[in-house]
Amino acid sequence: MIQDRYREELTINLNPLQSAGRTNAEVRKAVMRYVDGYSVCDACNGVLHAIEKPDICNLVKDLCEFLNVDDAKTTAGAREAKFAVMHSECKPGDTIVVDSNAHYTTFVAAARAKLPVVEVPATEAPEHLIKPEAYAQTIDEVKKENGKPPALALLTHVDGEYGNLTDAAAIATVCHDAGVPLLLNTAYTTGRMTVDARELGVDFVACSCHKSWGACGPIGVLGAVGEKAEHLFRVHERFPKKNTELLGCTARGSNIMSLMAALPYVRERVKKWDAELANARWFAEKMESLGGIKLLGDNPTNHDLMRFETPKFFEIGQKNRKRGYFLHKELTKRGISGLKPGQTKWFKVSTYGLSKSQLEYVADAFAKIADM
Amino acid sequence: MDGNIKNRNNRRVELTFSVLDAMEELRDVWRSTAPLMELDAAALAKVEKQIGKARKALDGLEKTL
Repeated sequence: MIQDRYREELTINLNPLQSAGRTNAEVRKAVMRYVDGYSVCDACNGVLHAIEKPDICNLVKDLCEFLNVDDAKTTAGAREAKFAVMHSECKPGDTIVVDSNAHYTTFVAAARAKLPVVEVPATEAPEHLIKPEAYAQTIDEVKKENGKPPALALLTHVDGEYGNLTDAAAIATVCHDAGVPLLLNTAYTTGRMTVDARELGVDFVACSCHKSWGACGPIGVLGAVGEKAEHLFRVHERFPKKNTELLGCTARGSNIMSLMAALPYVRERVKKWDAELANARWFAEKMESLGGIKLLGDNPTNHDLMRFETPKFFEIGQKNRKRGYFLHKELTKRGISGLKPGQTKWFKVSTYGLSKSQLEYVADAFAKIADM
Repeated sequence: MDGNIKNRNNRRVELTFSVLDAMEELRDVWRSTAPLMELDAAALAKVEKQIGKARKALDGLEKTL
């Protein structure tokens, strides 16, 4: 028997990993209809992204338009998209540069592609910012060390630790001046806010649709601009309908249909990003006003993912019978989920998609717990 | 297959999905009002509408048996 999961219905879920991947009814209806394995392949002619019924062919066009790229394909997630670019763009002996706030999957993808990684350092705590000048310096160092520039640079548009929004356009300029293509990992941005790859000047864009597009997944999108797109999405010599880097067909069931159903809503919701950001800032201000709580990273925040240092809750835990578990217990009692049990020194939350009344409820709950 | 049987079967499946769709709409109400689920007039109207849709579909489904 599968365990029930009623978290999204019964609680306010603050888990940053999950908040913007919450599906709506239309997405779940699509999933129900295509839940069987290979269900999108009824009228397939051998090319997943060319299937007309269901209309995956137009989904691809819509994705290109939405991201402003020349070509886009679905993947199993952002990590698979990053690996495909690394594997396609680089050859043995190459080095890549990556921001030090990058997700672990960036490093794992590089290891799988057998690529040494040089990290672009972030500024000191509490900001942990990734600056264009740090990219310039790191690329220069790689050039001096290897006698050639890195084969690829990767930038995490918004990172999953601090929710810091990087200046992708400025970093793209730095990379291009050095002759280095840039892959932008937008796992926490596309689907939440408008991301125009061409305007930012990036060569590749990796997206996570189960993280930020309200799709059930696992599904991501990989977009590419210019000649880079042609090489990345090249087909196999013997199987000319199959993309080599994608291993042929990628998402071929309810996952791609959930993306198809989500896209019209995503197009609309990115227009409301300012309201989401205002909510996040309001919440951060409320939290900091409790005292003994500090927002790390960008302050004011530029994203709904926020990391707070919370010595206040740690101190309360020291006096509580439940120790470090008291915070999780108190939040659970109030119908709030998403924080890790035992965490009181710091935690991460996301306010994405919450109504103002839900947000007020959460802020009020933290205030009451802080008073214990 | 006989046309009547085909129509009946189509109807059965359509109505099955109508019930499921109404329940998914209902889930959205629970999600947007969590954790207290105190329903204002608009939310209450949506819940009643979806329950009505599901009930109508279930009645229709029963008639195809």
